[in-house]
Amino acid sequence: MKPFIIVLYISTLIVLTVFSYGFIDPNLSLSTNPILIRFIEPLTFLVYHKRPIATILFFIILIILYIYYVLFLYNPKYGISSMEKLRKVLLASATVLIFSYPALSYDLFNYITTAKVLFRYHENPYIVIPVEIPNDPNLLFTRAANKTALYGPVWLAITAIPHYLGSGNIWLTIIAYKGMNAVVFLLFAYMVYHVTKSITNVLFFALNPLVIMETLVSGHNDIFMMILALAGLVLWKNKLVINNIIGWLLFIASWFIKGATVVLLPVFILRKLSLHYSLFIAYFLLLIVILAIAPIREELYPWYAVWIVSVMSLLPIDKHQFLTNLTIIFTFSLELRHLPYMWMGYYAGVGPGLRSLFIVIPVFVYLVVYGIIGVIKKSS
Amino acid sequence: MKKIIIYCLLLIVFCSFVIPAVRADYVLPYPSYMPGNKLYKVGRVIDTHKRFWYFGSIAQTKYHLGLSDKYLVEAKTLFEYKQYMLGADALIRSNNEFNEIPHYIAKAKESGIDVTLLKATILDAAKKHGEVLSLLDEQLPKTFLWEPEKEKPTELKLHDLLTASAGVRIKIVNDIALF
Repeated sequence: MKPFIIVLYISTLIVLTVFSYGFIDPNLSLSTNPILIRFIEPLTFLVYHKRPIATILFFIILIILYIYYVLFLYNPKYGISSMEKLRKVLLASATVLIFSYPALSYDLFNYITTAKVLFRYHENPYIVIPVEIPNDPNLLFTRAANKTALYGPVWLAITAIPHYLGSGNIWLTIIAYKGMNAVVFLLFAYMVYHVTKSITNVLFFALNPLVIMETLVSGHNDIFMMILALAGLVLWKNKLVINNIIGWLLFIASWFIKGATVVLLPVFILRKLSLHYSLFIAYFLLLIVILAIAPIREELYPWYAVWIVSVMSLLPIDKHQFLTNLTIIFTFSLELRHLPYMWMGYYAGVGPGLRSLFIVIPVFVYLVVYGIIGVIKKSS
Repeated sequence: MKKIIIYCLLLIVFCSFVIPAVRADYVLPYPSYMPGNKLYKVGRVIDTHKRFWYFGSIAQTKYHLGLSDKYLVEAKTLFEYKQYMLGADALIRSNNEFNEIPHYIAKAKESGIDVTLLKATILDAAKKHGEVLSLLDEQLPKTFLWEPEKEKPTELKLHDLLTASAGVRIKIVNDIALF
């Protein structure tokens, strides 16, 4: 592996981290340090007042990250040959991105404020909504503050860690949440290697730009749900009874983070299925939730793809080339969904139509190209 | 009757100075299971144990207010069906629940929560309760002699009970206005 490629890759992540600070909510003050304020001001001006330029910049970063991703994944010349090197790359990536601002979503602030309702005010967040504490400063930059806790009790229990580590300082709290996400991200990458013994599989998961953006930048909690569910599945397929019990407990715990993994119940009930087939079925079950159920509930959010990427990363990638490529294209198209709001500054208007197009077009193009290549191969 | 109307008017005038009124009308819940229904006792057990789920000062305020509302509606329904004994019991329970509220608002304030919204909700609830109580006072006899077959007769002083219930609301509103 050529070191300069890695340096360039990490540099791109640093640029992404710096750029993310442009998205700071205008009501949020992270620091009173004048140097820091002077550093952040032009970035916020760019993001909030020069929206098209900021969107193009984000698009360029996204494209660069996908180019690296495909290079690392498919080109042996740039491939990461040892786990030791990969570990260094992942550690460096996670460390850089812990310090990024959760630019693409307000969910992290919902987690922070819900945890505050529980651990600071000792109120039941399933009964009391944040706006019922009108003097809480977090309300200034929290969206969905008029909703009770959206996630399960296991997630609430986990949020105690960053809540207390942050000790009331919003910036420290954000970093604590991101740090926790980074630890789980690295643990998941380790689990992928432990199960598959394949560096390619680890690369597929850990360098996927959507996983990086949604887990390490935006700080979504989907990775917590998936690590519990998939570790549970792996342990359930183990021969030791104690592992089976732990597997079920982990699986059930995953329901109480976000609930989507309930659909994996059939693969747990069908014990005789191999891990490979269980994962294969799990992929499609989760895909159904993403494509059919999630849009009915709210809309198709990009971070839902973390579910299928994490399942796919445990499957033999070389045996499922079509599905692997489709997953990559799908994650790319989902990340494009951020663009309309970034450009326009509002969700309505042409936004929903564009967001749908951004999903359909890349996937459709891939399917057409794949079909044409298939026909050419057959005829030759 | 006049007393209750005067109480209610005083309450409204007093409170309109204390808290700005910019909210939608307070709405009481639909009647739940009534005594005699098989699920009534189950409902009461659930009501009692729900207190553990409603932990926290704001949640406890909501819990007690919710039960006070529920029992007031229960009392109103029972009175309308001339079940005076049961209605009086439900009204006393409603009063008891309303009495619990200031303690939790004080606790919420102690923990640094701005209780303005909470106070406004209680004021709205008290006003609504006052309306129901004055309506009942108009409709019900002042006293009622309850004569069960094998027990001693009981005289229910309905007017006094309704006046006292209105008094509970006024006292609570006055108490929480000081927070």
